[in-house]
Amino acid sequence: MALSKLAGFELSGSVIVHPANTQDNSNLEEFSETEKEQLIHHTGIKFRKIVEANTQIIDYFEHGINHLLDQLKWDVSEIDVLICVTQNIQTSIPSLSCKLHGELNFSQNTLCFDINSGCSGFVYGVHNAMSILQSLMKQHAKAILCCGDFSSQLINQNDKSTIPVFSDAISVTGLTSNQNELASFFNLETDGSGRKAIYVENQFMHLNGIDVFNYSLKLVPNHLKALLNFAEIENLAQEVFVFHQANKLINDALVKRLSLNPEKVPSTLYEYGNTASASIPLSLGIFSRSEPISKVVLCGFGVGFSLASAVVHLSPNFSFSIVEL
Amino acid sequence: MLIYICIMSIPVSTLFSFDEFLLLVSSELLLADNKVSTNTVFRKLLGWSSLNALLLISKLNELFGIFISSADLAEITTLGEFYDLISKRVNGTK
Repeated sequence: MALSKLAGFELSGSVIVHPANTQDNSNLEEFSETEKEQLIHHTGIKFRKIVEANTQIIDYFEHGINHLLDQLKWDVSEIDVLICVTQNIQTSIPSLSCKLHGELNFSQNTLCFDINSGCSGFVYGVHNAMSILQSLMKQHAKAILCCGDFSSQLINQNDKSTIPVFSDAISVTGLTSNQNELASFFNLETDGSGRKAIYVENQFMHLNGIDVFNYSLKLVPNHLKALLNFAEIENLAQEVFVFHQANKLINDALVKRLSLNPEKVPSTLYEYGNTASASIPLSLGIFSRSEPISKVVLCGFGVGFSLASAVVHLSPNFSFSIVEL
Repeated sequence: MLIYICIMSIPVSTLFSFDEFLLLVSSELLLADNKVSTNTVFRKLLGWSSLNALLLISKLNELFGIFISSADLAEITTLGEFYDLISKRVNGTK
């Protein structure tokens, strides 16, 4: 168990960038009508966002950062930390964050690095960003956290287990100090025995749905209970829980197992599918449009097998937007 | 639907009979008839797919709180062996 606590930081706002191109699981040629109905019903996924084959993920992150800076009225020179969480294989040397630093003229004082993480990546990124911001001992320190993958570029078009699930989107989130020194709580864990549940081999992603289900149901409930106990949260029905959007079968089972209030657990699976590390900021942002949120429980789980949950605070002025390219 | 209701009424951790297991398989794999037996090779069933296999595994988890992994399934071939595995998992002997 890796529990930790950081005081004084909040999420200021998020931007999601996704392609306009949308694929409908009702139109999948490889599946029979019955299979398609079952698939949409049980995975909860009808639509997926899919980029063109040669689209570069760095272009999406650039759009997202520029949009977020305008949205939050931040200047690029103010940014202390820039982190990219991605498992995209297009660009690993140099890191995406260093490339973005150069393209967008960040300050030399801006600390940059990438994190290789998927489903749990947003929470790992928030933890890293807040830890560094705290260490700076600086008022109004600011971080930008970029998350996401173009998973469609890793899909074998003959693989019926991955085609209907994964979707392309990225998120860009701003973090800064909050006035009330409110504490954030984290639980970051790994069970490497589950490393074969989702993996890339010979350029293609492989998904073992049964093992992902088993690891999720075995590990996530106790993982989350440890976090909630640490954060002294008892009344679960009142809390907003934003889970990684794996599929409806897993997420519904977790809600039931933890006795959560389904109305406080947003899902974006139907419209967006599984958008890897962008799925938590996407679901959080959309939910924040319908209900003001000051505090939220986040939970990412998947490829690794990696688990990351957090209790974090949102700025009273938290802003969210979606950009379609 | 009647089959489904009957199975859902089984108390958690109480193992069902082999015939009830066959009903569950027929229900989850959307089999049009019930021509399945102990010796049926489950991977050759018309309704067997990665999604339906997952649905069956999740239903067993919901009913009995047990986990059947893909490695477990790789070691068995017939529905009879599948039922034996479930029995042992429920009894805590495997």
